[in-house]
Amino acid sequence: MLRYIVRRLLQVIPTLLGISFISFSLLYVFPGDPAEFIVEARYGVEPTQEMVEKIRMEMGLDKPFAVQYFDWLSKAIRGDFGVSWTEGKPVMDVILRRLPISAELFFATFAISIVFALILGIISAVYKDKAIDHICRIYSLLGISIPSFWLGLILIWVFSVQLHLLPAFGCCELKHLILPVLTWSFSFMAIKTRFVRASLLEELSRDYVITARAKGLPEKLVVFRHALRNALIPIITYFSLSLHHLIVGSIMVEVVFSWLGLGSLLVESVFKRDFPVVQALVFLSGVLLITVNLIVDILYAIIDPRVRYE
Amino acid sequence: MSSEFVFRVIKLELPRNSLCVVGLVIVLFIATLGLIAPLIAKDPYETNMAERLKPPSLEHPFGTDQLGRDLFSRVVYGARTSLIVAITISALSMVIGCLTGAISGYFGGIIDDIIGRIIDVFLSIPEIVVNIALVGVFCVVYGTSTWNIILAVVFTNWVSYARITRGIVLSLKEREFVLCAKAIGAKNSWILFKHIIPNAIGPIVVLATLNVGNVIMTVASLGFLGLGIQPPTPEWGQILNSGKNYIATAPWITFFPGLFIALSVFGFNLLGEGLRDMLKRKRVYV
Repeated sequence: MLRYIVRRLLQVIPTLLGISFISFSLLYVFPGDPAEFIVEARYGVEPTQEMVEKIRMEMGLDKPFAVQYFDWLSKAIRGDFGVSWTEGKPVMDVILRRLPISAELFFATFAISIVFALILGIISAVYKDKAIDHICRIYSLLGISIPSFWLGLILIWVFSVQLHLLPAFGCCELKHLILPVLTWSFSFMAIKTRFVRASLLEELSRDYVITARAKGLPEKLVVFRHALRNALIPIITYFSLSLHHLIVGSIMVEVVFSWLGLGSLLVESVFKRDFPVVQALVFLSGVLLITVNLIVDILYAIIDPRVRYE
Repeated sequence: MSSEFVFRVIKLELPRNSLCVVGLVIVLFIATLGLIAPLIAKDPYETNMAERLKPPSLEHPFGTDQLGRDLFSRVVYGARTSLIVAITISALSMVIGCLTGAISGYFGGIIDDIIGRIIDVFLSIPEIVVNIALVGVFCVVYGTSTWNIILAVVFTNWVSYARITRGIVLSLKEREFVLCAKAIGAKNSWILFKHIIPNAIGPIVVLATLNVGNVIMTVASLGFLGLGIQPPTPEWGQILNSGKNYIATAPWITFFPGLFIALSVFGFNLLGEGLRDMLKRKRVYV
């Protein structure tokens, strides 16, 4: 077991290096002189030679690419992504300030999506090819086809502009959470519903299910005690690996509903050319995905010993 | 199973698969709209401040936008932009991805290790995050031309093609017909292009169809964030971006372009899913 964990950890290193390289290169292709830009953005004055020199020395911008990269990397590992160009504060502080706002939206959506995707997926699989299954399947296709930013705006129009029921903007109270979570779950749930349906159908077609039915077990027990339990392993894996979709959603939904989370921080920073923040967000989102992957893999190996020997 | 076989299956089976037919009809509808845009639409660039933010009427079926431009014309011309950009991105990604994937799988060894690692890296960064960052950088460096958007999306998009091709090539290269070709002294490039890639065509066709849908969504998302194709060129996501400021007074600016994004993505998804089911049933899908 320990050998497997060590091997998986070693495999992650080149991927992490690759991600850090891509994230860092983003800054390096910045045209012109970043130091001049920083002076202008931070102090709002025409940069003088002296100030530019000072910033350049301070940030190590005069060193060659490789040196700068390793400097950045060795600091990044310790959670230090330098100083925001426009705000002058450490990048990590900026990110940590925005994190709880994203997290709130994220956990609400994730929880709701899991529950409803499981319910819809099970109904769809149990009543395969019946009307309700077709409805669920059409929903799951529609869910991935309807842009979340459009759905969000339509919901704002219906519930805020027309009905005056819910606020379109603002944050942190329950009523502010409803529309963004609804928008986000609509698409996120769609993908999950399909997967739950497919996994359960696969289990239901196996021999042990036929045996269970043949010995006269009620269908409820066949589905919930036998098939669903086995289907849950791939489903849980899939849910934890679906962070990809969640990150995309977080950007669009946060922008539509003006939530000041990490998604809108990324977009803002791109517009403000605050590249250290962009770098950090690209790098951290990659690290997050890899870490979750790793944890899922290791848990998987604990549950299913066959995985270790592959 | 040559590529002709795959296309014959598609031709014969498609009319019987209702999902596929509906998807194809939607896709053709959007494509036709883009194609005959000059015949049915007015000038999408012509502004008229006296007519700004007018609701849908006989003269302006979709209403007018904040500059008094006819929204119907902008949406119809937007179909052109979206399809051309999405198909260019998918085609470029397909060429790059299939080639690297095939080379990686076929030659194995150190080449495969390196390319495999690169694929891993790209699979573990969320695409849209990189796209947004790259578009941001490109815009600063080279200005906001459509090619920058295309390149930024291709940069992450080729990976799905590479991964799928690599997998197929790995499973095919030990098969008898490939060994046979090797034994009679065929060149690597011949084996790759004449024997291996044609066999991968089924999954690649499916992937490409679904991918065009995904890319339409990505480009529209970038447009909505203000990082996509720049005005005045009509593009659905970017029209939505300007519409969001007028959601209370002129919801039609938001409504119609979004409907067309959803419709076209839905069409490509239906078609792709249908093709996959069909090819799986015929066991063409590896």
